[in-house]
Amino acid sequence: MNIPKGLNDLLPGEVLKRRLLENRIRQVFTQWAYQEVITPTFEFYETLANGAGTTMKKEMIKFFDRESNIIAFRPEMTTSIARVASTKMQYMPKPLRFYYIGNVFRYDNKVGSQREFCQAGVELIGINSSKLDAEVIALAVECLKNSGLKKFFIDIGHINFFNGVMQSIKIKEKRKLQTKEAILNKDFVLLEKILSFENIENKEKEFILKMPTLRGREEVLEEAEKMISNKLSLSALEEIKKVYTLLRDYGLEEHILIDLGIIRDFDYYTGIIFEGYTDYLGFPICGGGRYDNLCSKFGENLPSTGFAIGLERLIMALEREDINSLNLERPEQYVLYYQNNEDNFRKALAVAKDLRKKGLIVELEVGKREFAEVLKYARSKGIKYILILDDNQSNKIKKVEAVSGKEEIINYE
Amino acid sequence: MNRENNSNYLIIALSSGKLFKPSIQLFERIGINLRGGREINRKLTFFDQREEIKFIITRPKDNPTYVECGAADIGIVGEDILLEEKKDVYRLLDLKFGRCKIVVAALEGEGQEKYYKNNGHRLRIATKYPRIAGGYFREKGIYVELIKLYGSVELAPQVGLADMIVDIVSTGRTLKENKLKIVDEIIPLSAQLIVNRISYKTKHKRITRLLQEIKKLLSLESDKIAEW
Repeated sequence: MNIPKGLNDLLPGEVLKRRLLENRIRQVFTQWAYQEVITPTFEFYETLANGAGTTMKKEMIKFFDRESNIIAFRPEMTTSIARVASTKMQYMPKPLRFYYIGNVFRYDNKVGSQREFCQAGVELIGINSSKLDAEVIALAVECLKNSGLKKFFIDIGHINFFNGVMQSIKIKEKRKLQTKEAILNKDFVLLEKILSFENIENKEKEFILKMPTLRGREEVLEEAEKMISNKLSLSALEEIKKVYTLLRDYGLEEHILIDLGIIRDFDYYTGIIFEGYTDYLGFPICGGGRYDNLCSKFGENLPSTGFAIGLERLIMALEREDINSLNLERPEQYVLYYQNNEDNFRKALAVAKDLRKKGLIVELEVGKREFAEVLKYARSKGIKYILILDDNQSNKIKKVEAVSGKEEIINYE
Repeated sequence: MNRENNSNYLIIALSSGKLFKPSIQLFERIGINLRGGREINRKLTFFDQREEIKFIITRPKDNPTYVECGAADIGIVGEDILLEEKKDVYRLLDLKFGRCKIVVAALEGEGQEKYYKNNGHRLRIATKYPRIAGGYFREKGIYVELIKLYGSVELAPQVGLADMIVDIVSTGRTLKENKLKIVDEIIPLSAQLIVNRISYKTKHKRITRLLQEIKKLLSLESDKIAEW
């Protein structure tokens, strides 16, 4: 039987890893005083469209419900949480600190074309402050660290840096749109062509072409300051500097880079934006930023910031960095074997109940197999011990290690 | 997508087929040792140890996928493939070689103009490039039905499968042999250099150096390279 394109069944081995990772991240979220919210898997398309640009609108998976409303699966979580904050938590003292771990859905998620994938993230809602920008970035770093990842960077930039540059270049409006589109599509061959038609200064042209590579520590800010003069970009640089300095106070500068080339796909960003990378993946593992106007679409003016981590991507990065990073010690598992008769069965039930109470993971043998078969079964399933009830001595259990065959008699009262 | 052993290596994805030889030529000309590169038939990877570059050979259509996913840092790919399948990669350089164009062609002797003017019937267009063809006819305001084929598109008009074709042409010989002639040129094409969006940040210095050397070569020998 098939399942729809782009969806997956997660088998027990994968689920173990996923839950392990979720727990590591959840622990950090909780310790930083973020509270979990769960929102519906699908909502009115109209609601979700508030947080989506043209591309994202196309990528949403939609259907009609019985009342002919257009419903869409959530393509990301931020919009839903902004809705909750503005319509159900608006009277709570600010800031609100929320986290989520849940699946999101898109038709054409670029890499690997998976249509369902899992995101863990936070939203810090209600106050606009560089300190809070720094907090969520620091939190993202902590999450990645606690997940086990060692080598990674968070690049920080600002949406208005690019916007300022675009506003200030003196070219025709139509060309400006083309220029913007070429930059968004990362098409620098086309960009050069468009700019060559225009009578703009070489210095300006060079700068636009150089933008995606302006990445590094503080020296990037100085370099950029020399090359631009528009107010919007300059104030963006100022804000980046503030956040960067705060992150240094957090002691995280080894993981932080300033990157003026970041352009994020979402339309709702209004300030600091950031993305996380590792050497092991050709695409970002997390991303986020400030969105001060999204909540007002739901009726409350709540400046906010947040981020999301792609869990499938993070698992990939972790395993490429260290294949064992998600192979935790499996909890020991037991299978309880007994000679097949009524008395023994009842005794086995009692023993199993007792062992489970003590916290062990115990399965009861179905009862008709030879011991050799049970041994084989235990080995292939990774069950560590077989416990054998002794027919004659009611207070003794033989404990056999499945791999080595080592035996041990334990007394059982 | 085995990157863990490769993080010091710059991985360049070459396209097999027409662009392969000129791509090799290009890298040899800027001093990268491609020993074995020319003879490879089945081997899909080879190295320049001194420069720490690893080359992989991909099917032309797959090339941007390798780069988008980060399995390769850089790709050399035909512009037709980039136009047909939008990928999230940096396009940084027009390499000028592998020149050809995408054209609309119809059987010789038929009045092509008739097709363009006659809105009375829906034109059937056979092509490997539905996106490019669709965009072109939409812009012209001509109502067409696209028939996606995977090769030997020239056959379609001869057997009545399509009225016209949209296909890639370099010398024009294949068209002539199949009694087709060009009705309109849609877009000129050449080989393009693309870069993974993360690699362009993390391996920026090496990629820029490589780009500068290629640019220098292109500007010095643009006429020659155009012939490759």
